[in-house]
Amino acid sequence: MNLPWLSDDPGIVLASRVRLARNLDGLPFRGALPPSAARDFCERVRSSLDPFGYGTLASDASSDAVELADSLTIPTDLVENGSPWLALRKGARGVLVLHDDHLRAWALRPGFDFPGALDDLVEVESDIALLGPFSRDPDWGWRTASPEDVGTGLRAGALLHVPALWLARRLSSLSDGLDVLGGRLRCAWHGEALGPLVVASNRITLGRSELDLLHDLERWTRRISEEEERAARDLVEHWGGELRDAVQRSDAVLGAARLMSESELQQRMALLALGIRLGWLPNRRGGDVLRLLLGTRQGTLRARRAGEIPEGHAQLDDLRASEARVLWGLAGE
Amino acid sequence: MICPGCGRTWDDARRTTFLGCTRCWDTFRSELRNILLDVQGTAESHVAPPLRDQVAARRRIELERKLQEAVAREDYVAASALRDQIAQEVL
Repeated sequence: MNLPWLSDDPGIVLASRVRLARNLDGLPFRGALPPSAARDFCERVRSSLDPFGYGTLASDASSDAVELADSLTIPTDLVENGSPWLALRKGARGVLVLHDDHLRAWALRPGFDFPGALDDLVEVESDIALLGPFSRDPDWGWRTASPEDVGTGLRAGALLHVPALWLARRLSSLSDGLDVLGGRLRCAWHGEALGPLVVASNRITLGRSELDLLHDLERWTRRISEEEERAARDLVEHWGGELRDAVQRSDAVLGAARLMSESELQQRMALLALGIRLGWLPNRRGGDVLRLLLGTRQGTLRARRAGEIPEGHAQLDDLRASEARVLWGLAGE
Repeated sequence: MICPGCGRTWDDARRTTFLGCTRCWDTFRSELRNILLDVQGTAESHVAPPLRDQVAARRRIELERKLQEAVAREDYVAASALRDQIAQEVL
């Protein structure tokens, strides 16, 4: 899995991602756009950006789109929306076409680097300018498909790996606090319950400048990172010996289990990630857990084991355990 | 009321939480003002420079801070390079 944000020794902040929503007058939004017009628009954007070096990463016809969504390369809800769309990429930046808005320019930097991501985003904004002019409201700024994005059209998100907060069950209260401040904490995959991999982002896009919104998010991201470290210290203080036992058991179980439910795997991966961070598993690295986490998602299993996906839960647990044994075994070599 | 741009009603937009086209922002202006107060906490815009200018200004401030640090530690080679970089940014 070649992901720009996945390193062998990741910190708590895995990636910094920013995106801008831009729309055209005279062209309906995705929900009101006939499929043939949507396909024409996708083709127009693809051919216009081709000279700038943007390649097609995936389209609605792409068979590996689910795997790309599982690996957080494209948004999950883009794959699920059912009407034509297109994802273009140039390195760690790109454009999503008809992901609710007509165009969503994005840029991603590994680790905690919003200034760098913003520099890249400005370049993408400049590349897509030839498709404009974009629709702008005299009072509210950039017009978008949803009132949740109007104004700046800027959505920034920090991808965070927070196994200690998840194990300590502190994510919900953190999420409530962030909501009050104008932020949002959600699972890295749209629509799923909060897990050890989360995205902290701005919820508000109107009434503040892009840089002000980013400064807020940077401050929240630092705070969540501190809370993750605090949660790890608290877990060690309260559960010391038992925690270490659970970590080392998980290391052994993943190499040998024949059946593994999704929830058990999630719990064990969180324990392993924490154990690695605490230095209890010197032969393992944080990136190993993340590769395991992404590689055992259902869509990825489907893509890799085409034809082997069974109907029942027991068989799926069998397949998941088998993939976990392979990935965890390879990581330990 | 029906949007002349896409033929959608306000009920359509409310049901899907998405507008039909950019003209819906004119057609359903008063309804949207209330929605903005709810989801954004404000219906007032903030007039900010274009993103490119904001980013350039931030970069210049950062370079000037580094230049002051270089001068303070008497690293004149670094200071000279930073001064040239700032001059280029201004252009």
